[in-house]
Amino acid sequence: MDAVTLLKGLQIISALNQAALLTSSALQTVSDMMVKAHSENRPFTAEENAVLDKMVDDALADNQKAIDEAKAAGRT
Amino acid sequence: MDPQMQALYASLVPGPTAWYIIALFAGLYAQYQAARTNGRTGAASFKDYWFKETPGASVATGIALLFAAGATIKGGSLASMSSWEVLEFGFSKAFLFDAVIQFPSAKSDSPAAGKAAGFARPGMLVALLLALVGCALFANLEKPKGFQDDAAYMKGTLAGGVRSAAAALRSGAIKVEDDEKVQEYAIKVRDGVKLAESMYGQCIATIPATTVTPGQGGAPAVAVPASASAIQAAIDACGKGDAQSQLRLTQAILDGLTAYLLQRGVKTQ
Repeated sequence: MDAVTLLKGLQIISALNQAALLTSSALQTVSDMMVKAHSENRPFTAEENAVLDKMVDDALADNQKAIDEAKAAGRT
Repeated sequence: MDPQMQALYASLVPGPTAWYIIALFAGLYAQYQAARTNGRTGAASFKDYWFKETPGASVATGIALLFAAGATIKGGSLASMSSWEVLEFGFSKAFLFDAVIQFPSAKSDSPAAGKAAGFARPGMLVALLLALVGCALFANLEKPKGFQDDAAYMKGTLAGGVRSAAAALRSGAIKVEDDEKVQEYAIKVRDGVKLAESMYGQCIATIPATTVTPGQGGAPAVAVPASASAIQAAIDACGKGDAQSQLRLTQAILDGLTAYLLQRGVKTQ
């Protein structure tokens, strides 16, 4: 295994580890919200739904920013 | 019918889990036929497609499906679906998973996925095994109980996946064009969930607050407040109709996106 492959493997493991943490964090937020709604026997409020929608929109905006930055840096 | 005969009959009729598994196999077979029709496989038979041409990708598909199907069956959500929804969900999941995992690189000059595989296939297995470990961590989360919870979970998974794609791009693990594809699919999933929520909301809005009882002997009809149980039943019905079908289809795209992310995350340049 050459150094480039090893570096690539480490990058992958790092990205996957970060992915697991980020997804875990997002799902924990959803789970906490559900626990509260279930315990109070009610559907999500408009505010809670707005939080969930914002979570998705913020993630999409961040990803678009990452794409724009990478393009500006000349990456393909 | 004799109770023993009834029990025997019930044991012979496939339940939702059996239909789900049958639908998964049907989805895999349909993907094989699609690959043959489009020249993406040179395998002579379904058996060769799975066991000879790209054994690594096949195992990856198998593990991904095993994990996804196991989580669905264990979660108990099949019981709340109609037979058609179970078939639709299972078929589309298997079809999309195999499409994502077996699909050859766009730059490959080979019609067969195996020759385009390289390091990506064993890497895919590692990624899926890591995902399995991640899933064990998620096992303690609150279980979804109905349409709104399912939609909320999809938003959480989508947000986490998209954040991960951004992190992977910034770390150099994936290419810009791969992340652009992720973004494109993610927007489709977001819009799909919104459409399902809109359908659910429209259905909820039509639930009457009162029940009209026809008058007897020429007396005028009487409107009485609908019972809480009747309203709850109507809400549950809204969560199992077209809105849920839309959500399931979107879930299949999200599952495909997750597999795509994992595959791109391990692809070497």
